[in-house]
Amino acid sequence: MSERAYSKDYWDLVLDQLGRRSLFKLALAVLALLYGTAIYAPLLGSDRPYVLEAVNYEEYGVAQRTLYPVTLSVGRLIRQGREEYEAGLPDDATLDWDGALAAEVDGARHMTRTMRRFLPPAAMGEEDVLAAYLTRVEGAVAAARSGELGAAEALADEAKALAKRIRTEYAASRDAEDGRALVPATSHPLWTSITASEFFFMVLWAFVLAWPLWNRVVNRAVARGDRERVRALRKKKLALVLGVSALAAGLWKVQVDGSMTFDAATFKQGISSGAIVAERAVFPPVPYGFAEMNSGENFRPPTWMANAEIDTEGYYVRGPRVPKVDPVTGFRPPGAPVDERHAEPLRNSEWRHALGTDSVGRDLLVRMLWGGRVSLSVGLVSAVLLVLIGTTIGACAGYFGGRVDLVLSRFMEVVLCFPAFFLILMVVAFTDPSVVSPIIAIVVVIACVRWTGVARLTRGEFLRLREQEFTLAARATGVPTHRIIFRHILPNAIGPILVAGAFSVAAGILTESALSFLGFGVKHPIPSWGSLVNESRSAEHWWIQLFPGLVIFVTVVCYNLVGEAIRDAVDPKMQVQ
Amino acid sequence: MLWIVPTMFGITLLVFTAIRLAPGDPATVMIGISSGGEMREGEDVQARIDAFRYEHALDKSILVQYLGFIGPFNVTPDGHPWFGGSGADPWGGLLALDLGQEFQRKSMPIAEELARRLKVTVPLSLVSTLLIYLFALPAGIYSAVRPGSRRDAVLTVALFVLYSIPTFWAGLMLILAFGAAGLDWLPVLGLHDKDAADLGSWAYAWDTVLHCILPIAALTYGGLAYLSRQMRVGMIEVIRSDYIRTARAKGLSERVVVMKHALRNSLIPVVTLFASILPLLIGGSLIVEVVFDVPGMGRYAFEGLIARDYGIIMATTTFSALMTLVGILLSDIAYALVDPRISYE
Repeated sequence: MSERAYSKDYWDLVLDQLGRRSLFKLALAVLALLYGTAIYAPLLGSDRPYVLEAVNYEEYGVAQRTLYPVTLSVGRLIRQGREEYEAGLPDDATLDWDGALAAEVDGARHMTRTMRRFLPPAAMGEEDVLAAYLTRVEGAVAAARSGELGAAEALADEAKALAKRIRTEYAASRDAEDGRALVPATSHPLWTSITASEFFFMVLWAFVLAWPLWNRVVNRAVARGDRERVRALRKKKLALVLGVSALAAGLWKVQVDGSMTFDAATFKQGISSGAIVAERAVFPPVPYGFAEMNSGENFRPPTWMANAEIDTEGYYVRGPRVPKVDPVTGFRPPGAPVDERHAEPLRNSEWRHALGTDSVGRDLLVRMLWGGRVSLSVGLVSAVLLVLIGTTIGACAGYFGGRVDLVLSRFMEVVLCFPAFFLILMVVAFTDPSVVSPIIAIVVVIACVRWTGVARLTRGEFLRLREQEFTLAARATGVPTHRIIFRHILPNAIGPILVAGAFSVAAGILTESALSFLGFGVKHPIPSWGSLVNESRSAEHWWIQLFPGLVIFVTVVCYNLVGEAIRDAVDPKMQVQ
Repeated sequence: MLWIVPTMFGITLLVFTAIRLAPGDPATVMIGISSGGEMREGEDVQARIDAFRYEHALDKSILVQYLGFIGPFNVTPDGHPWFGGSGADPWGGLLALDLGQEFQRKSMPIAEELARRLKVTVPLSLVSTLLIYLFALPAGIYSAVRPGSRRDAVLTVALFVLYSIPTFWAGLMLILAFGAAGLDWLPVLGLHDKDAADLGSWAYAWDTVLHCILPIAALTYGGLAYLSRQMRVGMIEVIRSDYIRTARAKGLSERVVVMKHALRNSLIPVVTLFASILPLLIGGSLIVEVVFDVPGMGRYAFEGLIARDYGIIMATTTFSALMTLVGILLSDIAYALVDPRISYE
């Protein structure tokens, strides 16, 4: 430790104060976790496996069977020639001759690639049939384009012969004896479905969650505990974290993003029908998609409850949903056997649907994981926008005063007189979801209606600060107006604005959830916590109302705690120790 | 008092433009609803949309429509001859206390229906405001007298938690807890039982009271928590001031100090909060009335939104804005009453 004398600046004091509040730290930790579950939702709950080692007989079969027709079509295009083909085209055709040839070659490439993934290398023989076939097709098309029709036709004929051989000899085989049995191919469907922006937030949040660990180490190692250096380091750390995340996202975009499409629905279907045989499939902890339905299990209570038990025929064993047998005829309504799909927990496992299901059997837990993305981001983004609007208007009114202030203050009063929730509800309800996404509409409207609080606050602070000596000094030395506003006054007014911001996030989350609850928020299938509560209002389905509401409540409590703690900490009357 | 008029004017203008600017056409929605959600091209759809627009003056310019809302002219086809009407019913709009007809039930004047709905909402809001002040003031004082003590901490946390509960969730949880699925103590939906019409007047009143308990609870808790937090803060500030120390120093009993010296001064900010509690109640009443199926103004606004009925929405929003303004006015008056230094000369 250096013996240099240092002074604590305002933000050091604020952070000191905040560090002493255990409730504040707890609330921050809970919020970090909640945002974590939203950001990592695809890794926690998804119907795609992390790693998949499987033979897809159907995919292979389709490729192997369509290779021959594709080759025929290439041959026909070449024989027809450009003029004849384009003369016979209908007016609204989108592909000319070149385009048609390119599409066929693309198809051939894709199909050979698919076959190659599953065929054992030994099965393709010395000369590698697939490679030989592909070079012939590509050669034929290239020759046809350059006008050597004779050579092109000869190559196309050779390709046709090879394609015929592939069709007869390389049928999908499950027989290990003949050496042509297909081998599993490894893919990473879940990772490849993650976009670069999602990955950016994942990396960023890994830094945030690990902050207590690395922050101390970095401060010790680089700044050696020297307070001045720690202070100087703050901006660098922020830049580094953002930079690394952005870099990782950029790499992700180049390397992974969009490299493979994966249809989870056909995958699960293929598994149950035997078209796909998986050697190894590692699923996320909650192996359901947020829109994956399972109608046999509609409105199933949380599976750890006694009355959620279902027998093999799909009848409830206990509770209100036990089927009633007609006393006269002995008729029992037919049950819907529960579909246990690949990688899903067993029928009566406690973890199958830990929070129950909704009207079409979608897992509530996975929908809550994904729903947090909408709810949490709407709150945050609307608060940021609202603070921006409010600060700008309030700063203008407070700094310039006079007529500007009069007009802006009147305007604020009119907006303030308005029942905010009513106005938000009205505008969102009247917004056409096909023109403007409801999420964006909600964010913008909340910001446009609720900025008055921040504006009044900022105005007051600016009125106070603009007459103080440092502002006068800045003005006297000829500092430009915008610089005085943003560099000299705003940093001194930022405390109360931050507090109002934290409370606005809570209010934004509450408003979004209320809107979604009333049915004016996000549309299916994307869930938000509010719209999840709206899935059923029946008291029988208490879990649908209880759990999503509970997370909204916890989030709002945490934001209010954070706001309260910051308010106490930035209070100039705080006790300095 | 006079500024209410221009502010109301500004608000109606704001609402009107907000509705009209938002994408989405009530005509297509209404025709879509009346044909069972099916919209097929090539039929008489366009003609019906045009007829609907003509009938409700939606084909006129936006300024004329606004004039039609404010009045005193009726701009629909049977309205004032200046606007191409037949002259059968020349006057209308807000100035003539005419809010137009509903889109769906064509013979139903909105003003009449709104009055019927207000008979439900206004008593509920008043009772709940009363309860808020009745509970919040003692609670605030109680925890402010000894800030930092255990009872203060418990009460503060409890109020903090209350303050953070989403209204709709509170309503649903109340239904779960006290309705047939839980303790089965109270009725949860509507304002009356199905057979209420056959009951005697006392039984009818009792039935209404039972039905109102849960909605009022859901309406009250948020404002209660908000107000008592404010009360506590204001009270603590006052108690720390010099003149309270003086009052204590001259040997007054704690009771006199709190009730006489501290309470009056800490009441000032709380009284003005009346203006911000009223909009809270109005916004809350919409959700509460939807959750508890109470046929009040909030629910009417909700129905109007579902049906894309401009008339209902304009009427309900204008009215709630008016109520907010009245709230502000009342709190200004109360402010002057509590604090003799303030006068509105």
